[in-house]
Amino acid sequence: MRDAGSFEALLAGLPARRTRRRLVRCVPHLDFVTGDPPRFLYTSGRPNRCNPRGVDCLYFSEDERTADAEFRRQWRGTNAETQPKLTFFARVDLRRIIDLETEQVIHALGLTHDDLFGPWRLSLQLTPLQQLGLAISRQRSVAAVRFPSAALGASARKGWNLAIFPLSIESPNRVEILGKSGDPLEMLPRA
Amino acid sequence: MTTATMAYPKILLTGPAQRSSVPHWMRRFSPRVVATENVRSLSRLPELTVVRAEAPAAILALQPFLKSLATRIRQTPRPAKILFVFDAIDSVVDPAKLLEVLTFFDRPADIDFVRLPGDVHFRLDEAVAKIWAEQEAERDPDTDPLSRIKSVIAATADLRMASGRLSAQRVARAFGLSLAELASLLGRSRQAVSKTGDAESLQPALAPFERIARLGAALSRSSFLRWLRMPNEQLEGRSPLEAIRDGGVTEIADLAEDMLTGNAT
Repeated sequence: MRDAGSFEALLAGLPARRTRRRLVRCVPHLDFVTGDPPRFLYTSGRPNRCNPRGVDCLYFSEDERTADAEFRRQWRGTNAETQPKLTFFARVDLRRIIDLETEQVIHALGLTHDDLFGPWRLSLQLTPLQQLGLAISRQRSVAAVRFPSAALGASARKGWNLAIFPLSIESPNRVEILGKSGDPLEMLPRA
Repeated sequence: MTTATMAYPKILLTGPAQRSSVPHWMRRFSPRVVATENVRSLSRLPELTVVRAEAPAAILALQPFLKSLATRIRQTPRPAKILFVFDAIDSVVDPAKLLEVLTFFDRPADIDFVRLPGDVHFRLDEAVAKIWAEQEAERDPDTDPLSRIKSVIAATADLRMASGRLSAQRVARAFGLSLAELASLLGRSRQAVSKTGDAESLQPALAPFERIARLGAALSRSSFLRWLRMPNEQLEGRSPLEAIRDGGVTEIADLAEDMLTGNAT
């Protein structure tokens, strides 16, 4: 049974690792920069691949190529696909993340290729990854899930995304949106 | 929002004209007093920093202090504001001097000026209220940053009547639907929708359509209409409009917001 309860029980025993790196997200250019002011760490509780509705989560890609692929996938077939976009960067230091590149983790969670890459938006039930996100949101040890980019799922080179759970970010974990000269524009945990 | 239980924000009092005693107009806030030369030892600023000086020129004469302030407010999560209080300013203020001060800071909107005696009490209350509002907005899960983006606002402005309410007729037109079809999607009769298309009772049902129409900030009208009707791999090959017809308007509104906010999916 792959529900949040069973994942919660598994979480403590799963191998977790630290990640310290730069992350990337691309958004349509719009007038984000002149907004009043942009809130890059905004979470709405909208469902996504690794979180059910009501669970706040931030999504970033590990590199610009993956972020660009995610952007293009969203806008494919429209005139916005090739319009100017805004790329912004985050710097994260997260002590314990669940890495879905690790075979042992995939095996322990019983995740399939379809769980990782399949469509989820119209699913009537929570998907296994959303159940995992729900389990993570109920604890404070694991702060994020690293999962493969579905936008690059069919490509020879894989790309990776990170789903970060803001309510699980406690010091010394850190997420910073980088502004001019690398200074943080926004950060988690909030001071 | 209730302010009855809201605590005053933490306030730092500093500046070349600041002595060790707290002036009467600041006492109710119990500020921490820090000498100008000690600001550089702070890692961040509190929510509000009050800087006392004789005049803008006196501040500009202390460039290392200004640079320290600018660096620290940059490192401070919002809300964080600085209020410059001038003690003996001339009646005519040279805006170029104020601009010179502002150029030190990345977020000029968070910097304010006031002169004594003037309306310092009011300006302090205003700064506190803005800090409270920002803190409240931070806590409010319904706060929607897209609603502050001008091009997003413009993209959906024509869906609303002069009353400010969404109009079923205008939504139907924007989505290339007949009013009868939109009425059916809203679970209403065509007659009811056509009679009072901006009825208060229709607003919750029309709201997700407005969230979807925000894509008009990035798409031309023809491209938006095409996107609505083309198969989408994220929707198992269905088009957004088919998903809406199957009762998935909220899911399509979520998809639209993920597109505009760049969420990897």
